[in-house]
Amino acid sequence: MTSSAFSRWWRNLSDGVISTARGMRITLRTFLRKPVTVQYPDEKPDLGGRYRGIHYLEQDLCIYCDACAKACPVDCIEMDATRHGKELEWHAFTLDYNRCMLCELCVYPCPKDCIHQGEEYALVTEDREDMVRDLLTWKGLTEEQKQKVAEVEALKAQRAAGGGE
Amino acid sequence: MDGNFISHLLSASLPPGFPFWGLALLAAFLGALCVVGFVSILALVSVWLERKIAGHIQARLGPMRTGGWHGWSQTLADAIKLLTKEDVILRGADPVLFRLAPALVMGSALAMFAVLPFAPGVQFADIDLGVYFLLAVASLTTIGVIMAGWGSNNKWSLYGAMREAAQATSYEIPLALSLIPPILHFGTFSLLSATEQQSGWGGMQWYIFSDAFWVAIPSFFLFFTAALAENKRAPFDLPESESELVAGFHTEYSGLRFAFFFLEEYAAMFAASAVATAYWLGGWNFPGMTFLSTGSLWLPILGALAFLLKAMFLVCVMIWIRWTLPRLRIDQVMTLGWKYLTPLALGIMVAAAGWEAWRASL
Amino acid sequence: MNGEVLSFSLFSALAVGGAGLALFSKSAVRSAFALLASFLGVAGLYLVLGADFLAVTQILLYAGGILVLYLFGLMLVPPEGDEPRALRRPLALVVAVAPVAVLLIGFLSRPSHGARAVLAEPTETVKEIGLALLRPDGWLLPFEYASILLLAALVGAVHLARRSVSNEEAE
Repeated sequence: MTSSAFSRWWRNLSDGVISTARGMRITLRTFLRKPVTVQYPDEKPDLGGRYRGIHYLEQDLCIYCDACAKACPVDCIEMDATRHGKELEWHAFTLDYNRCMLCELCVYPCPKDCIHQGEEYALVTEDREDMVRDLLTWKGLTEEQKQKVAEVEALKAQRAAGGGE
Repeated sequence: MDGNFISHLLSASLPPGFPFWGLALLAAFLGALCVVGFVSILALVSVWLERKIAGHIQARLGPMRTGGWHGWSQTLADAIKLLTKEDVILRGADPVLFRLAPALVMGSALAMFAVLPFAPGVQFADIDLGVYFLLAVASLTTIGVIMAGWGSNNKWSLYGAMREAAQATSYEIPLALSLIPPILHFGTFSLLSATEQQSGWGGMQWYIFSDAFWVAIPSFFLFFTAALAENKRAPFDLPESESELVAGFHTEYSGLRFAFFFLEEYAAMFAASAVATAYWLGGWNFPGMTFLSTGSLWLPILGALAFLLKAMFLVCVMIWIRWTLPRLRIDQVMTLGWKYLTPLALGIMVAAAGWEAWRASL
Repeated sequence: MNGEVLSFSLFSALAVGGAGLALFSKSAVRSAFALLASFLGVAGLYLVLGADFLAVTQILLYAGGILVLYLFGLMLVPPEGDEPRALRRPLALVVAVAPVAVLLIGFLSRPSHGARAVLAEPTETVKEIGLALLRPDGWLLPFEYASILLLAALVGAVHLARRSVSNEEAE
């Protein structure tokens, strides 16, 4: 064995030992770190606040202007309501997630800033029909609305009666 | 035959006219039962540890669901699954060798536990040959692995078996040579006697802390490396390298027979760690043991605890290494064994012999 | 029947049975595995005789080392199906029978044949064997001679296995 082969042997040996020790230090450091795993159904991941998930609607603000539906590039928003003066009797406000690509273009044109995209992302269903979600929190008229409508109707009737005098 | 605590217990409870060989057989049977139980629990714990450590090294959590607290019963569930699985034997396999191989592997792994000194008074047999017997029995697992590889009639299994044959015969040499420094130091093959000789300095006169520490520490690392290779643990797990050989020698095994190979791996890991503990890390000796009176019941309990802790720590280091280093190539394995470990072990053996001779001449 | 007779008959049955299996098995690998039984039986016989060191050495060297190398070699050799049975070759018959005959004659002509050797119960076999092998008035010279012979064989094997540099360059 020449001297260079001998020194190469020792260098190989020390390299092997040192690199093993280094690798083990790295894995030890990771071992001691907090794991990044999120136990999903129990915990929800932190999505960072600007996540574009499933929409939610602030129904009391919405004025049934159809701006979001017009803006939608895939025509997935459909809405239906009856106006009773200022009050809206909602029948449907559906969003078809078969088509929706969560692009957020419906959010910007809203004049009342009432449609938003939340952090909920679980869209799993057993039926394709279930992918068409209704965003309404209530349908028809609430008691409050009914009262207001009734007041307005009463006022109208009163006026009509007054005008008829 | 000095007998162990089982035979003492038996001879006290059996009628006086009972023949000695019957008693020996009965004691052996009960001891084997104890070992099987111990190894099963050990494997359950070690596999769980392996998964948890693997998870945390990769910034994951590992099993978390089964059994509630940190998935502690995941391996139990897996064991039940393995026991209930169908036992497949291929039509083309050698029926005798295929069935015999797991039994041979498992039997030799269990036999290793006969000579391990767990605590003062807790050892199945303190034979004069201790670690030599252990090496001999451990070499039988190699035959079992080759038998499994050949009997499976599968080219991957056969490749695994060939690698095991080459690897095991190569690493047996540095393994045995690296055991010589402690054998010379304590002057005995017996693990019990070696452990008892390390009880000085308040339970801290371990071989790696003794005056021969400068040979003890390198020989410990050599032994540990060679034992990793001998037990087919990563980075030396070529016989079962799943990336190219499916599962190597146990590709065709399923159910209980597969479980035997699985159990053997963890049993052998523990046995190697136990030998390292008994020879280098003081066995059951722990600091503060001198405060306990010799007849105290706490001595075997705390001693066993110290022994198990040390051995399990080494098992954890093996797991740690497995999740750190990638698998070597077969020629790298051979190079490491023959060109590095063997000459180093020879050098350390000569150094240890010189040191012990010099010390004896004082 | 005492334990000694029981274990002796058990181990000798294992040794002889394993050897027989090794002889008559058609598959070479199977006969190699049958040798394992034979080795273990012989190791058991050593144990019965109180030679525990020898028994463990038997397992370590023959079962753990030599048998593994046998198997390694066998697996590298392509299987040969229509090998003529060895008994049909007259030379093979002579080679096989002659040593057995010599052994048998020697054994039967010994005057002490039939007498049972009285064995002292060995206590520290390892120590005794070590001292016997390494003491100058013991077996030191034959031991060292055997070591040098083995070393020479090792060096020779390395030399034979080594490819010459010119060969490697030619490839």
